[in-house]
Amino acid sequence: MKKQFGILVTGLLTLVSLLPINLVHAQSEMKRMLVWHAYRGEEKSAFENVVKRYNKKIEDKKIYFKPLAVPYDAYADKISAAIPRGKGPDVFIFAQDRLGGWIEAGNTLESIDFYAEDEELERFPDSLISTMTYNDTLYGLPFNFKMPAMIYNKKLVKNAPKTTDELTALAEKITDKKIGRFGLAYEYSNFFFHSAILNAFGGKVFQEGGLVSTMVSKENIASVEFMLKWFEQHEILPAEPSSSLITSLFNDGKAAIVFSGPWMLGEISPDIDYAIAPMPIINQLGKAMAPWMSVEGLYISKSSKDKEQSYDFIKYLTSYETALVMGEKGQQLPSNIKVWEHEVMQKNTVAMAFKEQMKTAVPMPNYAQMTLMWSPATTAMNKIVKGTASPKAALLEAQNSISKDIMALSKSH
Amino acid sequence: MKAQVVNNRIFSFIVIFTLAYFAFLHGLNDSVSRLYQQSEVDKAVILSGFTAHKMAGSDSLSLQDAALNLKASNERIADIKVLKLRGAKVIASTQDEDKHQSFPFSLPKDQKSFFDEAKKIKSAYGKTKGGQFLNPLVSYQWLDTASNSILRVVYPYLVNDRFKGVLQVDVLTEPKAVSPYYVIDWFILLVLALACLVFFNKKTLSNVNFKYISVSKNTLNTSVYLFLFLCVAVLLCVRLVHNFQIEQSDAINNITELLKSIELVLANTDMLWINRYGLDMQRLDEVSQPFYLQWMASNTQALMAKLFVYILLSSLLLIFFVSGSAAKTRDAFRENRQAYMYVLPAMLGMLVLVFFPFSYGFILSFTDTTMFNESLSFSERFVGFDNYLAILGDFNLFKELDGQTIINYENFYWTLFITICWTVSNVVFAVGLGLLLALALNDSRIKFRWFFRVALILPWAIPNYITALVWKGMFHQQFGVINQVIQIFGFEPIDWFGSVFTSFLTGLTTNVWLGFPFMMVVILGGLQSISTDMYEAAKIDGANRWQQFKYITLPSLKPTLIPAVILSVVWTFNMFNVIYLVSAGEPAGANEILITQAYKIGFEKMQYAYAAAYSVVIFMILLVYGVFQNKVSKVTDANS
Amino acid sequence: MNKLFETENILLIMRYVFVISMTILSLYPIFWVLSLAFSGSQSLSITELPADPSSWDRIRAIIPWPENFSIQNFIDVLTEQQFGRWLFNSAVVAGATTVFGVFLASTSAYAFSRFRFPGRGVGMMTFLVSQMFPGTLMLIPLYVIIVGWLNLENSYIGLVLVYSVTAIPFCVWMLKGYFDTIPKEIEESAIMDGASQAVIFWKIIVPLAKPAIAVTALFSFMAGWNEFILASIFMSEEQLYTAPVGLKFFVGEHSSMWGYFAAGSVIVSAPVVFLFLYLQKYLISGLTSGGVKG
Repeated sequence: MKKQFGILVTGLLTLVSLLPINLVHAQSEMKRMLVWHAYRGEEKSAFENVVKRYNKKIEDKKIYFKPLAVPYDAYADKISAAIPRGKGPDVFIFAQDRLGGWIEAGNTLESIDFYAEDEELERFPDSLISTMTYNDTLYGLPFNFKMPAMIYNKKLVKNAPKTTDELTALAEKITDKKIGRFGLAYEYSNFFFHSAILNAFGGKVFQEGGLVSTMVSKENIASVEFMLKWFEQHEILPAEPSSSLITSLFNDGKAAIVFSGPWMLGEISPDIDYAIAPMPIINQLGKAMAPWMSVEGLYISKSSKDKEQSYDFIKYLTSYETALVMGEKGQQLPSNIKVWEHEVMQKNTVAMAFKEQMKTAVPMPNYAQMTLMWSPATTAMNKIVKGTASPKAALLEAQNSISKDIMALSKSH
Repeated sequence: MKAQVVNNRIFSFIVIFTLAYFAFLHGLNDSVSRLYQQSEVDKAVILSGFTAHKMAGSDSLSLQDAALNLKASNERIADIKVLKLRGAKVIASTQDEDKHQSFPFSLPKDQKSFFDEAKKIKSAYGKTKGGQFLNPLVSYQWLDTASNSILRVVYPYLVNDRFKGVLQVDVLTEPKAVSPYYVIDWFILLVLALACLVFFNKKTLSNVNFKYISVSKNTLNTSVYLFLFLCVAVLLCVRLVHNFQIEQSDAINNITELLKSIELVLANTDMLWINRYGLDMQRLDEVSQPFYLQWMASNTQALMAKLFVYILLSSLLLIFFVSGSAAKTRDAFRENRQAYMYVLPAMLGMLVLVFFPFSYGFILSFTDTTMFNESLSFSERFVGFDNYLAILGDFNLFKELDGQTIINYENFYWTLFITICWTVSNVVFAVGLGLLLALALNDSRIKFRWFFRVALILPWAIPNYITALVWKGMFHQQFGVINQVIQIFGFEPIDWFGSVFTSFLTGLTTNVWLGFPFMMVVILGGLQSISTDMYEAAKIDGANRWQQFKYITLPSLKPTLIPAVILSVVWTFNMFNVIYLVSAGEPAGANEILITQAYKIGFEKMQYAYAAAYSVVIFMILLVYGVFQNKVSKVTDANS
Repeated sequence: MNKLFETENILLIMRYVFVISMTILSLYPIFWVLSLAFSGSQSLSITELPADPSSWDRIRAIIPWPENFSIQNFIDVLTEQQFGRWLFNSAVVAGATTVFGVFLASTSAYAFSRFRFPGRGVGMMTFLVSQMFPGTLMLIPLYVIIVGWLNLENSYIGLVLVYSVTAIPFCVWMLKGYFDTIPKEIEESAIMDGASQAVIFWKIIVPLAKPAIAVTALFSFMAGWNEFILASIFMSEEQLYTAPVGLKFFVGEHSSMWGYFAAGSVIVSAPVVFLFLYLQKYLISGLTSGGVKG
């Protein structure tokens, strides 16, 4: 009896594994276009909803767009594997940080200069268009933007500090290392978050064009020293910060203020009463902290079967009606500026706070060389925080390492 | 039987000669047609440059007339179309379909590829200002129509040295002449081959015994065959190369003639295309000759290299057949058909899915491929052993920082040292723990064994992404559980990721925790092969526990344990996840192992070829270990 | 006599102590995963420590126990996405990998163990060597083979092929080692009785090698069950994703839903535990005599 069961299961498994799966869409005579994204939850359902509306609009063309969610960890690899081999999506969504790399590698992104009309581009702020531009060529339409802002626990912080002096004083009062409570928490050893101070000081990681590393510029050193003051002198920051630690601290009421972006909101526990404000002004500079802004772009793939239709689709995705859905239901910060005048967005205090932060934010560079920067920068920041090297020496080491890698890349041109 | 052997040889001889000859033919054909294409492209580009120069001189009103004139005056120019980049406007066109248009008009959507080419050329032109050429400034494409072949060249359109747009010039190409040499070659070859066969069929060589060297009949036969084959092959090669050079000089004469005919016009212009060759147009006569000679030499070299590879492969094939290895292989297969049938399916899958990716990585490692030059041809990227020299020849184990001398953690030998420590400690602890637990759990007096067994395999069952993260959290300096425990006993908390050794321990602990259940299960399985009778007998002989373990348990476990150990050495050596998730190589990359380093080089620094060379080095180290271990433990041959 | 029993007892107690302490060690991190999964929130809670903690406070702090007990994370994981479907896919792929892999491996291993033929040593080494080339660079070539040449995008077969190939080398070596311990006399007497090679293999060798087959089956299953990156690259239909792919949706670029991830991990590991519960009967010998062995 048992044996027969075993054989039955084996047989069934083999049968199922042999099933041709293309059955799923083989019967339809509609032309299928693919769009890849990495959304889940509300964002995903809002996006799918929008795609459905578009499909209805173009029903008589016998074409439809089909969304596919890909886990973020595999997303870039999947695109790099599929598109240059003529497979993969027609349209895909990705942040601008990979843009330069894909363009340099070639065979991945289609320029949209040919399709885009000037009037259509007027719906976006210039800073967002600049993130989609590489070598004077436009490669995608900005979909939404994200950047860290100041998220604070209302129980511990009554009024959001406007300046860093206020912030430091407040944080010192709240910090009690013995019970593990901190006034401020953010991933200060990660350059993505450190950028807020870096940009305020006028620091840069690369010269214009991305071919020369400027890690050890005096602005960069000053910005790191400023951060170090928080950590060493005022002792308002926890050690070894990671995104999961910061969320844990905030959720347990052990971090009064965190610098983080809209991505964190879903993880905040419902017991915490929080609010969001733009990052404070650095007193000695009189300038506000200016975090890097990350922009998700809508790109047309080189392997797309119908590029004109694809452009029409991404144009639709940035239109007023879509942006409103994505902003309201998908909790995104849409790139279409007109939408922000709508009362739904005006009433959304969280979104409006991030919109406010956008005024000072700096678009993150999209040079291909950016990927060379992260790991040496993290190493340098860890060394500085652990006190094993001075800011200047550590940043110099990082610069040397990055320059060496740039050399290795340009040697092969 | 003997007749069959001879027939086999005749057959293989013919096969090889045919193969080799087709290979040669292909080699020559390929080279000649590439030569033809290259010279046609050169001519077309020169014509386009000439056109662009002419057009740039005329003002925008008469542009269309200039285009029509040029088309009429030169029979090889089929069509001219000028695109202004801003706004994608066609400002002149001789194409039939545009006859009734009024200029300028917007480029139709279906001709987007033209616009894309223009964009590419513009960005290449932008980059030339830095003094370096990253991309060719001219692009071309073959269009095949029914009657004749057309080359479509897209060329920058400059007015007063400012980039305005592009010209698309369709140039008629000259038909390719058929080469007359092949038939003769065929004939020569056939005669030679037949002569060889007749000779060898009559005379079979016997064993030769010199004073000190004895040569078997087989070796002698093979060498004579090989010698003959090589003679014929070299003869053919010489002929081929000679023929090729004749064709080549024809092509070059053709080009120089064209250049001379339009030389006057070109004298004052900056011919962008010429930069491809690094030539100065004004000194065309002096420079072009040596340049073309050089070009010719490199082309001939490429052809000879190709021929060399063909000869080498054919020789190997010849040896394989003539020496009787082929027959032996076939016989071996016949005799052991059953064994091979059992092994074949698994082996086949293995070869397809492992051999190809490996060759891909192996070949890649001899280039300088990075993200930026992936699209270049293989020969342009080939760098030989440079990557290996850079990895293995870098002995800078120390560097200066802040006036202090510190260890250079990026150095290969440091990483290798850490990798070996990592692998050895992991495997020792995992096998040790697995063995002890398996032995303990094999004792039927222990109650609830099923519970312990299940509890102990859980670290293997749960996705390690989350458990690695929990471990990382447990090692946190301020909030980690481990430091809490240390504080319970009154010690100071440890900065786990701060020093090389403690950070190493975090990875080690996590990986041993993840790895011991597998070892335990393997050993539990292995223990089942030991009959309890053996222990009973040993007890009667008065063996103590340790002796029983040493003389019965361990030897009986060996056949299953050794493979598990070898494989877990391999897996641990390449264990990417745990390092990446737990210690992330902290502090300052000191705890990276070879595989995480290779990943960083490939995916963060985008130096694909260098990363591939790293992987090949990893592979070689493991291969040496595997062969050595196999020799020592003789596990492939163990049989009770 | 009495004394002997005492040392036996002490040894037994030592064994108990060892096994129990190892069990606690192996379960402790898992309890943290469980406590996160059942907490209903997305972050591990950081335990309250008073300003001057006593040892007792610290001990309480290190016990993984969620403040609020909730199964919300499990509900969300199972309902937000088609997690059930993905588990089914995983089961099909890992199950087929097990059947396919163990079958191919056992025939090969049998040949390696029982026949002497040219290329045997090289063949064994080939299996081993195949594990040595680091996988990170294999992604693109594997994509080219599976999707480009074999056209097996969106097909279970592609994944089963790749997973089997990763599992087979260990299985072959393990089984070959085990087959070596089975005495040849058994087969020889069967040949005398006129049994064919296939009968010997299926009726005699395979039943005797059950413990090793159980181990290799578990191993092959795990090779297919927890793999993430290839599954997410070869599958381009959401309903064809496997469970590990589904889990990874909870890990984003900057943020991760660790509560969901932990709950999902618990669900994903349950089938493995059941499989092991089923297979472990082959891993118990205890004091029963090994039948035909020896």
